Amino acid sequence: MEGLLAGDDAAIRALYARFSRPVYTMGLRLLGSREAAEELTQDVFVTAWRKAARFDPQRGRLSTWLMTIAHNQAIDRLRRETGVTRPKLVLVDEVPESAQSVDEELLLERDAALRAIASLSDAERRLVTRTYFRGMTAREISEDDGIPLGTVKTRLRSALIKVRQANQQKETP
Amino acid sequence: MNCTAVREGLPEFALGVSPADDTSSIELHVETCAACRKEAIDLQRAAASFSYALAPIETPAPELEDRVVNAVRALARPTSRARARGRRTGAALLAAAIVVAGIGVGTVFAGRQEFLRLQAAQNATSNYDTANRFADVVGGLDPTAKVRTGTLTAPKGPGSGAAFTIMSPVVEDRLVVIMSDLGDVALPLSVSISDAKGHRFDMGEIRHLDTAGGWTFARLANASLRGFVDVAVRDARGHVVLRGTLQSQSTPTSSP
Repeated sequence: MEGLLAGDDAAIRALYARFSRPVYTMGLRLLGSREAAEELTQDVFVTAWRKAARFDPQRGRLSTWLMTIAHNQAIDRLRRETGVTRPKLVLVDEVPESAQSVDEELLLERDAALRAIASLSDAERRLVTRTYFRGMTAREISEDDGIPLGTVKTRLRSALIKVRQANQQKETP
Repeated sequence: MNCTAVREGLPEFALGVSPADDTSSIELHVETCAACRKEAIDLQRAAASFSYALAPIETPAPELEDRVVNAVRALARPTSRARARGRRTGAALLAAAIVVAGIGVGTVFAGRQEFLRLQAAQNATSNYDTANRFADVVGGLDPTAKVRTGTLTAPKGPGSGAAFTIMSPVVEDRLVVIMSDLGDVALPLSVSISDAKGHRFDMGEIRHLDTAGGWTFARLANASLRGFVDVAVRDARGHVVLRGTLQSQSTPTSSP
């Protein structure tokens, strides 16, 4: 216990073993280089340690909290470094399931992601991709597409509600 | 921000692309509005589904693990007693999270009693965190305002809290007290704030607590709160159930 509170190797390594791959994947897919992905991974675990006091298990799972930190940091960097060419996004439903994906937790998360993607229309998928993976705000999309800001916000909300319903249906068969 | 404006901004907030000003306002609102908080959590969970939607390409280089462990370990190494206390709380909460997530280090805890202790520690930290975020937003809205914050602790029994005062040259001074885990205290509770000379303002009563034994109390003062830093919450019998001292800087303080 004392070892863990003092920053014990085993505890940190347990957290790293569980989450390093999805965090690194997010960095590599969104930012486009190994160097950036490694920096993101290190920053995410350091930030998690700094913000540990804010984590509330009643408000969500550890995986959600940690991946939200990873996503926010990746998006901050995307928005800060304008003009950089980013790699084409490749989502889990576009590649065959990896034989290496044996971690049960990861498989469950992947299933939830596949359900989320499948629940959206092509237009909603494109909209979510531009916000969640490219960091575009509703106002930027509204200006790019020439549609009212309120319409973009309504569509984003509708897409998220669809995802929520898809996940709820899975949880309560 | 009212509920309608918050609801409109929640999808962007959940997707992590909310403009900075909106993010602060939404965070502040959902701390005190249960309905909007539920909506925010639901949408955030939905958005989080996408965090695993990127197809894995390759595993990180093996040496990255040591870099990360060393970076976190360096952060966890305290440089002063105060920092050590804060970091221990943070580490304990992270440890609790690991246990909740069931990822294999559950044996570090002795059992339920230890877990409950950590939950109480988390609530205390969360109260202080909330108070500081309130204070940050208020400070941003009114740069002329002076804000004091601090934690509240229970001299005996369960309970924790945080409080802050806002002293402004343009509007009435006010006191906000956030409390939790008070258990079976005798209601109503009375809230007061005193200065170093023993002058005391009785700020009002709390007649109900929520199911978690918590409440957020906010009152305007009919006189200046300058110099008033000692906050006390008493039960119906006059026993102090929470107390603490506020400070100008954002350093948590607590009664011994």
